[in-house]
Amino acid sequence: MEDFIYHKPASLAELWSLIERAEGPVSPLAGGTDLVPALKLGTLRPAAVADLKRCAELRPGVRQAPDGGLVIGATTTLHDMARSPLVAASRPALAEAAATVASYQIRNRGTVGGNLCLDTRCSYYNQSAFWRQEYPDCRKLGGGSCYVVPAGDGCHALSSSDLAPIMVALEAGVEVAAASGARIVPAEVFFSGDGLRATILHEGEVVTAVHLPPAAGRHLVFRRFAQRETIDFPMLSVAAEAGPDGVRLVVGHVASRPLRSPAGEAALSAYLSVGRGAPGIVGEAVVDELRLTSSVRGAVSYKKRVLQTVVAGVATELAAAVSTGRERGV
Amino acid sequence: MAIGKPTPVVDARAKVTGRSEYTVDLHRPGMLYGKILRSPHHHARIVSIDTSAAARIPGVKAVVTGFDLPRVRYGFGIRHRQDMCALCWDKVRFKGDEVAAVAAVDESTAAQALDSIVVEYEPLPTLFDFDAALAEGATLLHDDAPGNIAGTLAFAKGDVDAAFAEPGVVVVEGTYTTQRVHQCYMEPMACLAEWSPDGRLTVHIGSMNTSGIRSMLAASLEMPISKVRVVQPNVGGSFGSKVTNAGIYPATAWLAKLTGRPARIVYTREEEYFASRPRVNNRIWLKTAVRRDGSLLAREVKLLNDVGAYVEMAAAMLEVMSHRSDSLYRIPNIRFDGRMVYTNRSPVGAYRGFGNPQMTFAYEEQLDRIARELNRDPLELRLQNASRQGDVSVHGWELQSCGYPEALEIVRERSGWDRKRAERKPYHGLGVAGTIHEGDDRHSTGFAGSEATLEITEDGRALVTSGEGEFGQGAHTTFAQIVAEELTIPLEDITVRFPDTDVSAYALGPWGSRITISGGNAVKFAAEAARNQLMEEAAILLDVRDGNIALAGGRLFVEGHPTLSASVAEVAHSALYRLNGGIIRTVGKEEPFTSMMNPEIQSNPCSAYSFAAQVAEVTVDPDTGQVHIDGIWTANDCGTVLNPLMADAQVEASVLQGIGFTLSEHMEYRRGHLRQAGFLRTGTPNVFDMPPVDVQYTDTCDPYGPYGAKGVAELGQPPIPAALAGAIEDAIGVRFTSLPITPEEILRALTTTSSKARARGPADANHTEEVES
Repeated sequence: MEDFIYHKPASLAELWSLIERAEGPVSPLAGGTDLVPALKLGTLRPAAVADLKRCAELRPGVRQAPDGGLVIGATTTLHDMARSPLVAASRPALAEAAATVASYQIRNRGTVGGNLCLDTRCSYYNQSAFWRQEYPDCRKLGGGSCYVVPAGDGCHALSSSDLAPIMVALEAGVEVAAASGARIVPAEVFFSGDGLRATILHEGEVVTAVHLPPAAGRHLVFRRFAQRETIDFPMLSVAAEAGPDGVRLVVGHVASRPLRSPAGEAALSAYLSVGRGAPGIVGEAVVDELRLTSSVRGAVSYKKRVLQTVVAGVATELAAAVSTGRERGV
Repeated sequence: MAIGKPTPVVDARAKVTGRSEYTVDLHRPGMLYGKILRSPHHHARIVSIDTSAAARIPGVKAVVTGFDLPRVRYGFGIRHRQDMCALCWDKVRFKGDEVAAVAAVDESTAAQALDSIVVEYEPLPTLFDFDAALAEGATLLHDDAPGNIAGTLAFAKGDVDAAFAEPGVVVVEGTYTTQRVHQCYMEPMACLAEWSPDGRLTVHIGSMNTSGIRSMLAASLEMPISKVRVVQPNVGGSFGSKVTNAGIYPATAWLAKLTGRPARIVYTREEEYFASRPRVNNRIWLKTAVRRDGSLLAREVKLLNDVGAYVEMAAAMLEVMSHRSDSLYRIPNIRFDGRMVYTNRSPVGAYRGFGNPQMTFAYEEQLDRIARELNRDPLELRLQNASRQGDVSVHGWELQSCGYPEALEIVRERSGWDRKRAERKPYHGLGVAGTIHEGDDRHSTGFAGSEATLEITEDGRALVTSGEGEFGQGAHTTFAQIVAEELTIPLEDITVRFPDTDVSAYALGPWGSRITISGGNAVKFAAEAARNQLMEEAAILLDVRDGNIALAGGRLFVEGHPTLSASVAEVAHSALYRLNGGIIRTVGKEEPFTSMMNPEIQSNPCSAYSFAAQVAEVTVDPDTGQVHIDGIWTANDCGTVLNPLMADAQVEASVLQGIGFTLSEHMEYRRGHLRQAGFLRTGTPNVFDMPPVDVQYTDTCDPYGPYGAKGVAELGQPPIPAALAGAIEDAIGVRFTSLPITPEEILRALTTTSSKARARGPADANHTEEVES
C-alpha cells in the first residue's frame, strides 16, 4: 500500500475545503471494506483519504421521516440497519437482506452509504499489479481493453452492491451533498451503469443519507444467489417490491448497475393482481429481456437458468406477502 | 485418566484471545523487511538483472539475486531430484518463480525496490498441461529431464494380464481428473532470520519440518548443518504444505547475512497462491476387473501428476499414491504406471491426504460402477471386499488392526442407508466411500522414529521436548495427555516445547499422520522412564527397601502402607537435592519396525493403518445445479480415540475441506494464468457452509500405537469426493469424473446429456466470457 494523507473532517465544509487544497485525488472513506482492498491492490492510489465517519451531515442512525418513511444516515453500519427496530418494523425484508451481506465483520464495519457507493468489480481489474502484469491495462486502468467483454466497448465491470437493487426496488432517494448544494437522487438514476464509475457522484459529492418512502401497503422480497453462505459477492440477486403504485423488479450484480426489467414487472404485476401467468413466466420475461454479462461466477447461460429460478421464487414469495399482507426476508 | 477424555486444546485460550505468537508476529530491534521479486513470465531465460537502481533507494539495505547466493540446486531430501534453487539465475519456470530479494527498512520501501529491479527475460515456450508437456519435441523445463518427465514409477504385482483375460470378469475403465487447490492455512509462509556474531544462523519459521529444513537450508547456503538453528513458533496451519524449503528461507537468511540485521519475509495471500505448494492435480486412468461374485480381481492404473516447475516432494507422493489405496480391499493383481510431469506452474506439495483424496475419488467411483454392473448395493460390495484385521495386503502391508468393515456397518446404520435407498425421492441421493490412510509412513531406510525428552522439574512439573511440532493439529495436547496419563499429574502442570533444532532431537515432523503414533510413543516411553525414576527416588525418599512403589493421583506411595507417600513434587525435589541426586530427565526413543516402500518387494511401510467409511446424502436443485448436503456420516478407525474433542474436530474440518475440493474449490488456470489468487473467488468454503457431520469411531485397538491409537488427521477428506459424486449420481443419474463438480457443471449435465457418466473437457475451456447479444 502506498502512503497517503489521512483526513478526518468534522463537517462537509471541512471536506470540501481540504479537497480544494489537495494536490491529488481524495478518496472518501466510510467503512473502508471496499477502499482498503483497492488501496492494497494499488488500483486506487489517492493522495489523500477523507474519513467521513465524523462528518456531522452523514451521522449514523435510522430516523422516522415526516412523511412516514425512513431516513438512514449514510454512516449507519449495515449491522445497525439490520438491527434497527424502525427498519425491522416497516421493512423486515430490508433488515434481513442487510444481515446477509458478506460477514459479521464486514457488516460491523461497512456502512449503508458506502455500500451504495461500492465500486464495480471484475475479475481483471480487482487484481494486483503482479497478477495483471502480462495483460495490457484495461479501460478502467486507463488502457484500451476489456477482458470481460473483449468485443464490446466501454467497461463492463459488475455492480457489487447488495443494497443497490433493493434501493431501486424500494424507490429510495439517495441524498447527495455537494459544495454547490444538496439534492435527492432517485436510486434508479444514482447508479451510472458505467463500469468505470459505479455511481453518478463527482469528486466532492458524498451520500449523506438514504430516504425510504413510507412502507404502508408495500412489500419487498429480496433473494441473493451466491456460492458460499457468507463472505461472497453474489452471482446475482433479485429485489422486487409490490405497492399501490405498481411493482418494481430489479436484478443485481449482472451488469454495471442494477437492472430493472419492465417486461418482468409487467408479468409480475399481472401475476400478482389478476392471477394471470405463473412465477416461471415472470422469470422467463426477465431472462428474455435482460442482457447479462458473464463473469468468473458463472457464464451467461448458467446465469440465465439461475436468474429464471430466482425470479420465479421471488414472484411466488411476493404473491404470498401481498396476499397475507406480511413481508418476509431472505 | 487423561487418555480418552474430551480435552480442549491446551493453547486454545491463548490462540482465541490473540496472544499466541506466530512467525508473522515476531519483531526484532533493527529488523528489516524483505520482499521477493517474482517472475512475471511462465517460462523465460534470465538474460540480465540490474539491481543498481533498487540498491540506491534510501532505506534499501540489500538486494540479492541468484548470482549472489551459492548456486546450489537442492531437492526435497537426498533421494529426490535436486532441481530447486533459492533464487533463479538461469531460467524462471513459472509465474511467481523467485528471481531476487530485497531488504529495506519498511515494507513499502521494499516494494518500491522490487519495482526498480530491471530484469531482462528471453521468453521461452510455455507448457501448461500434461499434453503440452509430453508432446513430442516440447521445450524442456529442465535440460536433464527428457520429455519433461520428472520421475516415473512402474511395477506389477500378481498376473494382471491373466486376471483381465479371465473369462466372465466384469471390467470397468475410466479417466479421472482433479484440480489444484490451496491448503488455505491462515498464516502465510513467513521467515525471520538472524545471524549471531559467531556465524550461526537462526531462522524462525512456521514450518512443520524443522530438522529437514535445517538440512535443506544448510545445503542451499552451503553451510554446516550445525551452524543452522531452526526454531518453530506457533504455526497458523499448514495441512502438509509447510514441509517445503521454498526460496523464502534461504533468501531471508541471505538478506540478514548481507546486512548484519535481522530480516523477515512474510508472503502475501497472493504470493501464497502463486508460489507456495498447493495440492497436485492429476489425470488418473483406471481399469478394474471383478468376478461376477463381486470379488475384486485386478486393477491397472496409469497416473500423471502435474508437479509444476520443480519436483519438491512430489516423488514421495507418487510412491504413496502408487501403493496406498490398494490395501483397502482384498485385490491380488495390481499394475501401476505413474509419471511426474513438469509444467510451467508452481510446484506442488502435501495437502491432508497426500494424494489420497484424488486416488480414492477414482478407485471408489469404479466400485460404484461395478456395483451397478452387478446390480449390487455399493456398500455391500465394499463390505464383501474390505480388508480385515490380520490381512497382509497385495503389497505386503500388515494390517494389525483394521476396523474398515465395522466402519461401513456403522455408517450404514447411522445414515439410514438401507431405508433411505428404499424410499427413493427425486433429485435426492446417497453415496458411500471408504479409505485407508498411512500412519507413520517410512520414507527412508534410516531413522524413521521419534525421540522425546522429559524433565521433571523440582516442583513436580513436567517439561516435554519433542521436535515433532505443533502446527495447530493438537500435538502438544496429545503429548500432554500422555504425560498426564503416565505421571498422574494435572494437564496444566505439563509444558510441551515447540521444536528448536538446537534443543530438540532430530525429528521428521508432523506429516503422514505420524505424530500420535511415533511422537506419542516417544513421549510415552520418556514418561514411563520418568515414572520409573520417580519410583526409584520415592523408594529412597520414603526409605523403602522392599515393597512396591505405586503412582496414583500425583502421589507415590508404598503399596500396603497408605500413610507412606509423597507427592511427585516432593519426590522430584528430593531427587535433585539429595546427595548424589540429580534432576529427573529421561529420553524416550521410538523406532518403528517398518520397511520402506519398495515396488520390487513386499514391504510394510507404516506403523499402523487407519480406515474410514463415509456416507453422503445430497439433494440436487435441478433449477440451479446446487448441491445441498443433507448430511455426512463418518466412521473412523483411528484405533483408540485419545481425545474425542480433537478427533471430532479433525474429522469435521477435513470433511469441510473435502467438500470444498469436491464441489467448489479450484485454482483455475486459463492459458496457464491463475485466474484468481485469493480467498474470495477460489471457492473455499467457510464455516457457515458446514453441513451436519456425524462422527463415529470403530471399536479398534492398535497393538503398536500408544494406548492403541492410530492417526486420525487425514481420514476425513479422502472419501468425500467419491461419496459426494456417488450421491450426486444417485440423485441425477450423472457421474462426474472430474473435479470440482460445480452447480454450473451439474446444470449443464442435466440439460445436455443423458444419464451416463461423462468426462469434462479441459477446465480452461469451461468459462467463456462473452456478453449476451
